[in-house]
Order: sequence, then C-alpha cells, then structure tokens
Amino acid sequence: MNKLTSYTIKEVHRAYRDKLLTPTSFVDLCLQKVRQTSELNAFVNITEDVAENHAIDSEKRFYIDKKIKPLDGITIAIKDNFCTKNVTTTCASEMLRNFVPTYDATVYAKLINNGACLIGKSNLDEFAMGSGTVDSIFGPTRNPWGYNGETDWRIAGGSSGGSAVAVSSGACIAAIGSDTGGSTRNPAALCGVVGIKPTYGLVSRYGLIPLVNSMDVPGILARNIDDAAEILNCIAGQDDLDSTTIKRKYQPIEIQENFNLSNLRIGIPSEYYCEGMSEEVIDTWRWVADLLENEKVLLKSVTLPHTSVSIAVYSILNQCEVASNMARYDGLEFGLRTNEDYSTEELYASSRSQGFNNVVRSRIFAGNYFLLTRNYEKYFLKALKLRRLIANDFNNVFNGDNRVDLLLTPTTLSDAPLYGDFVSKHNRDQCALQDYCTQPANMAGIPAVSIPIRLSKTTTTTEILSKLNISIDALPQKCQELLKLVACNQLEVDIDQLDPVAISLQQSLQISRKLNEEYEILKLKHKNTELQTQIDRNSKFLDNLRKELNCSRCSLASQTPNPENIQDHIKQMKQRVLSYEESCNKATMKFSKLSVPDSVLPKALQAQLSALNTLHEEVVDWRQRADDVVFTRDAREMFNRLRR
Amino acid sequence: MKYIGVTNHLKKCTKVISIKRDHSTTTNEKLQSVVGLEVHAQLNTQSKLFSGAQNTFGGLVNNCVSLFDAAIPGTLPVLNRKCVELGILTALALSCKVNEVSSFDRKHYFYADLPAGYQITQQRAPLASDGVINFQVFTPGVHKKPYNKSSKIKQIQLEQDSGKSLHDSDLKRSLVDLNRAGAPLIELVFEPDLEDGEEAAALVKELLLIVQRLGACTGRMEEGALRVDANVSLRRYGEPLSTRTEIKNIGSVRGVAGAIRHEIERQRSVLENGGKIINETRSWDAVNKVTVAMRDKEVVQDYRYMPEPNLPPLRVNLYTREETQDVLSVPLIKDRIPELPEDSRKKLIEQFSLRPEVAIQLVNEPVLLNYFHELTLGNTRSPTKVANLLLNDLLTVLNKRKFDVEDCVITIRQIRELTDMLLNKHINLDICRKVLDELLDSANNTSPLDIITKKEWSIVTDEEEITKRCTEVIENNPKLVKQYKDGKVKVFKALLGILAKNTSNKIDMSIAAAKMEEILKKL
Repeated sequence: MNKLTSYTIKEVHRAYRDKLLTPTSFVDLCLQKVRQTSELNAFVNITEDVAENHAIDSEKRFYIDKKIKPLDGITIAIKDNFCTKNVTTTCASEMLRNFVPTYDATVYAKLINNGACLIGKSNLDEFAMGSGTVDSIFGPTRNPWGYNGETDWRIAGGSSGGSAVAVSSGACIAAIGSDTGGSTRNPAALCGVVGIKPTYGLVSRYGLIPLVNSMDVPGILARNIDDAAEILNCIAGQDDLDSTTIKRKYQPIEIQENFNLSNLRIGIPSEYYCEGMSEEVIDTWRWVADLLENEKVLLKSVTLPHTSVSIAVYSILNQCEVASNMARYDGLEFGLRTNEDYSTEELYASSRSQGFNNVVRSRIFAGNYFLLTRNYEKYFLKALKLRRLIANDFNNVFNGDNRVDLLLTPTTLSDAPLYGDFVSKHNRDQCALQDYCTQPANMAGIPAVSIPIRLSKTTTTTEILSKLNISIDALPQKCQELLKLVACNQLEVDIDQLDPVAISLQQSLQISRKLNEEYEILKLKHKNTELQTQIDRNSKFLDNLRKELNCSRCSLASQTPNPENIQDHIKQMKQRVLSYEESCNKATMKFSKLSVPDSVLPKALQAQLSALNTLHEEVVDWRQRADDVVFTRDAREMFNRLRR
Repeated sequence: MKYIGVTNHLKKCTKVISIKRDHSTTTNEKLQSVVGLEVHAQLNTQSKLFSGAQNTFGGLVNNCVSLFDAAIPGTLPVLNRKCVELGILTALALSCKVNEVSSFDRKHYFYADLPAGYQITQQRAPLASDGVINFQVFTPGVHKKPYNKSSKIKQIQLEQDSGKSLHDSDLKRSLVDLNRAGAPLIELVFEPDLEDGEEAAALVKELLLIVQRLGACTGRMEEGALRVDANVSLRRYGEPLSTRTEIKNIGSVRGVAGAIRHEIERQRSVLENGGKIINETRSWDAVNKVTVAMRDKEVVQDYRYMPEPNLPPLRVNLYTREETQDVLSVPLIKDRIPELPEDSRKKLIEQFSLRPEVAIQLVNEPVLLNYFHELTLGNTRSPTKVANLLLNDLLTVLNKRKFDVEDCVITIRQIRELTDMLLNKHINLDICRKVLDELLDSANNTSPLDIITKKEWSIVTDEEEITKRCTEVIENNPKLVKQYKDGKVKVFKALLGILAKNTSNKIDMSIAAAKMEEILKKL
C-alpha cells in the first residue's frame, strides 16, 4: 500500500496500463493516506469530490478514449495561494478565509488539462510570509520525518510546507508550491523531496496570490527529478495573462539516462560557506562535491561577492512589494469585512487589523516606510541597485571564459529545526537564516533545484524509520535513487563512505590559510612602507632643526656680545656699575653737607600762610563792624533830625 | 561666539520681516497670473487599459468589470495594444518625442473606488514627452481679434481611471461603480505657459478637436471623457513661480475659462488683503461660479510610488515600419495622422478667403465645418455667405433652442436646398431662419421648399403681382406720393416699408423697389 503511493509517474501509468491500479482507486488510496496523516496538517482543504471527478475523467480517457494525457490519474496538491475556481483559496489568512475564486490559476488549469487530480489545497504561512509553515490560521504543518506524535516535532519548512509534507508523506505524487525567497526549496530540503524553482517567467504567475511579484515563481515538489521534470513540462510556457512570462517557446526537458558529466563545470560559491551552517550540512556539501569530482566534473571555487548583502536587500524589496500588494485587501470587493460603519477609513482599519497577522502587518508597515518619498532613494532604490549587482554576480559566474554551468550549494543551513526552537525566534530572523542560501536565486531570477542527498543523523534512528514504515533495507536504496539523479543515474554509491571529503576540506583550509597569510604579509608590507615614510619625514625634520641651530650659532658669533665674550662684558658692566655707585655716594655726601635756611622749609611757609588767613578774616570782621558803626551813626542823626 | 551667533540670527529675522513688508506693500503692483493645465483624456477603445472588460460610458452599474478591475487577488495586468497606439498617435499629433522605452508605476492611495489601493500610471518614464500645442485664442465678445498662443507639453502618460463613488448622505452609505475602474486614460501635463482662463479654454478646445480628429477620445466632456485640472498662481513680473492652487476635474470648456478667471480673482484679492496663498486642491462649482477648497484633499498625500513589477517596460520601434506582437512601429502610426485643425483653418483662410475668426469658429464646430465643405463643393456658392449662414443663422437658431451643434438633425440635402433658395433670393434671411427652426422638428426627409409652400412663406417675384401691390400702396397713400413728387425722395423708403408690411415680408424687395420707382416716375 505504502509502496504504491511512493511510485513515480511512469510507474503509476504502467500500473494503470497493466490494470494493477485505476485512477479512481489510486485517488482513493491517496485520500486514505491524507486521512491517515491528518495529524501532520498538510492540507487546509481536502477536495475529495474534485479529485474523484478528475479521476473519473482520467479513467475514461485511459480505458475508453485511449487518449492518455501526461498527468492522467496523477494526484497533486496545490498550495492554498493559487486560485482554484469554486474551491476556497485562503492564503492561510483570516482575510481570505471565505474567499472562493471564480477563476483558475494558469498553473492549476494546465495541470487539470493534462489530467491531474486535485487532492487538496495545502497549508502555508499566511500569504506565504515565512519559512516554517508555522504562521497559518489553520495551525502549523508538521514534518513527517522524526514525527512520533510527541509534543515537540520538527518544522516542515516553508512557506510551501504543506505541499512538501503532502508529497513526502505520500498523499500525492507531486505538489505545487510558490517560491519567493526559497519557499519551495526550503521545505523540500527539510522534508526530503525534490524542489524546483523554475526561471522567473518560465511558469505563469496568473492566479498566484502575490507575495513579491518580481520574485514569485510557482515551484514544484516531487519525490524525484523525473516526476518534477514531467510536471514542469506541463505547466511551463508563455501565458497571455501574465506579461512577465518568457515569450520564447518552451522546450520540454528530457532527462537522459546516460550523459557525460565530464563536460560539466560546477562552481562552488565560497560566500555560501557561512556562519551558522551546521557541520553536517558542510560535510554533505563536500561529499557531493567529491562525488561529482570523481565523475570527472570540473569543480571550481567561484565568488558571488554580494551574497552577504542579499538577505537585507531581499527583505527591503519583499516588504515594499508586500505593502503595495496588500493594499487591495480593504474588505470592499472581497475578503474579510468587519461591521465597522463609522467611516470607510475605520472599516479599512478594522478589517485589515483583524484580517492580517502580525507578520503581515509588520511587513506592510515597514514596506510603506521604505516607499515614502523621502525614503525611496535611501532604501528602495538602493536595494534595486544592489539587486542588479547580485544578479550580475550570477551573470559573471555563468558567462565569460571562466564560466561554470551549475552552482552547487546547500539549500538550508541545517536540518529541520524543532518547532519549539523555531518559534522562539522572530519571523524576520527565521527567514534571514532559512533563506540565506535560497533567496539570491530569486533576486537574479535564475532556476534552482533542491535535491535530497542524505538523511540527517539526528533523525535517522531505526525507531523513526519504522514508525514511518520505511524498512532499513530500503534506506540506502532510496538515497541511492536520489543520488543517481544527481549524478545522472550513473553511480552506485555507498553513502557511508565519507572520507574523500576530508581532502577537499583540507584543500580549502589550506587555500584559506594561504590567503590569510598573504593578506597578513601584505598588511605588514603596507605598515612597513608607512613606517619608512614616517622615519624619512622625521629625519628630514631633524636635519632642518640642525641647520637652523647652526645658522643661529653663526649669527650669534658675529654679534657683540656673543656667548664667548659675555663674561668679560658682564665684568666690565659690573665694574661700571660699581664706579657709578661710588660717584653716587659721593654726591649724596656732598649734598647732605649743604645747609638749608628755615624760611625756605615748607613748615615755616605753612605757618605764614595760616597767619595770613586769620588776618584776612579779621579784616573782613573789622570792615563789617565799621559798616555797622556808620549805619548806627546815620540812624542816630536821622532820629535827632526828626525829633527836631 | 555665541553672542555673534545670536546677532546674526537677529539680522536674519529683520531681513525676513523687511521682505514681508516689501511683499505686502507691493501687492498693489501688477501681478501676473500663471496657468498650467493637466488634462486627462479617456481613450476611445473597445476594452480597458489592462483588462478585457468593455470600455463604455453609461453601462449597467458594475457590469463592465473584469476580475482584474475589481483587484481580485492573483489577477495580472495585460497592456492593451490599442491604448498604446492611440496614446502614441496623440503624442505625435502634438509633436511629442515618443520614448523608446517607457515604464509603469504604482501610485498608492486608499479610496473606495480604487480597488487595488494603487493606480497604475507612468510617473518615472512616460510614453512621450516634450511636445507643443499651437492654438488661436478667440472668444467672440472677449477678444476683438484672434491671437496665436502655444503651450509646451511636459509629458504624456498612460494610466488607469478610477471607479466612481456615490455618496448617499441620507442613508450614510457610499456606493461604488467599477465600470470606469481601469478605463484607459492619457494624462497630458502642460507647462505653465498660459496667462488666463480664456487661453486655457482655447487650449482645451483645440485639444478636444485634435483628439476627436484622431479618434483617440470622444471628447465628450459632459461624460467625463476629457477632464481638466488647472494649476493657478500669481507672481510679480519676472519673478519665479509662487505657491499655486489646483482646480480639479473641470468638466467643460467654458468651465475652464470660468474657474480659472474666478481663481485668479480670488487669489488676487487674498494677496491684496495681505493674505497668503496656500497650496491646496479646489473644485469648480459650476452653478455658483466659485472655486471651493476640497476637504478630503487637505492632507498632503505621499503616493509611495513604486515600479509596477507585473508589467515589463514598454518598448516601441521609433525608426522602421516593422511591427511585432509586442513592439509597435511609431512611423506606421505617424502615417495615420489625419488633417489637424490648424491645417483646416489655414486651408479655409487660403482657399476660401475666409477671415481668421470665421475660420476658427467653423473649425471649432465639426458639424458646421462639414456643412461648409459640402455646400462649397463645386464652387457654386459664395464661401463667405455660406459661412455666415452657418455661423450666424443656423447657430442662432440652435442656441435659441439650446441645442448642441452635435445634435443638429438637418441633413446636407436640406441645408443645400435652403442655402440655394436664400442665395437665389427666393426667400429672405428672416424666412430662412424660420425654415431652419422648422427643420429641427421635422423628419429628415422634409424638403425646405415643402415647408415654405405649406406655410406660404415663399417670396413673390411675379412682376404682375408686384405691380399690383405697388399700385395699391400708391393709391392708398396719396400724401406720401405727393411729398415724393415734391422732391422728398426720403419717403420712398416709407412707401417700401408699407409695401413690406402689407405683404408680410413675402415679396422680393429688390424687384419691388424697382417697380415702385418705375410706377412713381410714370405718375
């Protein structure tokens, strides 16, 4: 039973032809699997009726019309941010909980036209903003690997976690996700399935509810490369409804059984070896590199110098476009509408604050801030310029004389984190860590594929494997199969053979050491020259000082007194002073012998002056008395005359 | 140091104060008004700018709306090629430089009739730029003579129209009609090269004629197919532009003239009273003839422009006549430019020797111009007389009835017949007007002659009848005849007047005058 749901498309079709299976019975098996794994919460909505109708159509084509379509009877899941006619499309948001589109996304329409059967709509982070499938109104999706029903379990990755889990758990053969910064490849890596992010514009975005229009691409999740390629061939191509699709006619991909790897040049970008990458991931990276090198692939180290700024640039562009794209959710035409009726603005505010979670709201805020006229050049325009540089990095690596055909990088920095650990971090930090290796491809619009290489040591316990109904014997076989795809079905690999990795590690270590040393030498040399110039400058200064000293000495010598005869000079001066003092004493002596008359002395003069003053006063007194006497005499004479 | 800083500051303050004083004392000096226009013209296409929904006026409410127009999540814009063609055609007719690459931007603001929360427009790299429009300013009654004017065009951009909101203040409800949402517009941004409302109105009229000739826009301003925003400011001669106000959505040519005239007067009186002009958006109240500040536009909006990521840059082929699905050939579009109003006026003046103001008036009314061309075909009728008939008599009759010239039902055949009767003096001007009035009510196969016969308006040219009538007048007015015979020639006119009155103006007066003189001389 379980084996059947892990068949490839080719195998399923063979089973249909051999009538070991029919599309309807297979769809039933898948639906049964969905119910069995309901604890994983991969699906938001199970579309049983739709699946059965599609299966009946396929069956008719298979056995009656005999016109088989490439995906007839193939079960698929679609991420719940792709519009599906008459089936709710929620984006895992309160805002669109009851949103039933009246049209089909191009990707979905193409899949159905090719005979696929829709099992259900899969879970995601709200509006695909996240990298864990933990921020959904329907609750988080759980990673089937290492899941044992206990409280802490591993996250599925995201935001297309539901799709990855659906494929990984065997509920469907392939699933559609969306990839904006790694949303398809990240859960693919964490859930052990193949994840493809096609070239931007290769697959139509019509009907995909946008996160970042300039980076979004529909992604494919499948259990192997052949299936993924088959699905891609069905959905790729120009679409009149999406002006950004590539106009060139799509050439379907064919995966050849044998092809020569020795013509292949693969680059290993040194910047992807970053802080926080787990030993195990680095180990696996090296191991694959060696594997390829053994197949005569030309491996070389390349550089993508702007990788470190990429995540910050991505974050700004993401938030700006989010702010813009989310403006349409005002509750008027569709979506959540609260009962607020005070004013249109109040209605917007309450609908939007109830309809969006914190992550969405904070990105809208940040985006609107970056887009303000006064900030546009400071953030958005700069981010666009840096994005161009990041894209140019890839251009340089893939073109020119020293070009490579492929880059080999890890998808995530570690294996799937535990839910508890993951949600303790802020959404921004979650994404910054999880998207580090994936988002540069979105910035440049280039294709990328995540291929499972081996199981994480922490999860490959026999206990877990038995719980997942995978026999230990099957394990190497499965890995081998996946690895075959990496090395194009050529290798018989023993996954325990890990030693050659050490060599390349040693090599890169040596190179980095050498580089470090060279750098140190360069630094020292530089310092040396600096010191030399300083020394030169100082000696020049000293010379100048010396010259000046000499000069002043010469000039001093030509003067009188000069330092040599100064003592004599002082002696002469002293003698002269002595003689002056002598003559001075003589003069005082002479002066003291002379007698001065008393009348000339100041005291005598003062006494005379005061005497003079008193005389003056007496004169005035006497004059007044004389006047009085004259007056009385006159008065007496007058009196006598009158008496007479 | 600090102290010096303070004094400097004080100095600055005094400077400011003195400048202010200067300003207030000089408001009495001559102020020059500066007017710049922004015109939105709806493109006359079958479908909308980015969707397949029907682009029509007056459709059933919310019935011409595609998923994209309602901003349903996941839908994407697809540029309508026809809109680009019409945009380029208009740009070329206005001698603009069409840009080889232009691009689209999102202009964000929340409004109920803007479902996406942003309008797609061309802010950074417009479709075309650096054009010019030449036109004549002549409003009968305002200007004695026409004069030439031109205004530079800064840019022409493609953009979406918004929906329409209807506010029901009684029920406190707003209703939204999205039929217009996403309709194609071109915005034409003119430099502030104009001085008053009449010039602005003349520019708008000329633009209307051009877009109508091109078939780019219906030009029906009453339907909002062409809307005008006017930026008005006042400055002293030679000074840089000062604070302006913007009058939004003026819906008629005369409205443009009125709104701008009013706004200039308002600003002048504000400045003369020592007030200050604030940068604001106003609307034109056509009933009360005033501009009013718009309340909901008080807050300065930050439109948070962003490149539209769902549309690749728009490329055109500027040099060759090769076209592909995505790249239009500009030379091919250039080949399709018809005769423009300016050329028509030149032709009328040169070929038909019409006066410039007559030519302007004729070209301003495409229906009349069409009559004119039909009537002067074959050079049998005097162009000046035909033009006068159309501009004076037909227009007067239409105006009296408050009919739009566009709605004139008179056929070419009818007007041709009537003109011939008038020019051949079978009827006089008075009768002619009456017939025109009748024709507006009658079926379009009615012959003017039938009306004249039916109403007995035809002119008597029969000599016997005229002789008889003249003799009657002479016999009944012996006094006047005596005066005439005594040499008072002036009374001849009085006699003719009596004759006209007696015959209810239905007699050919030139023949009658000759006859009357003849009879009088015989007496």
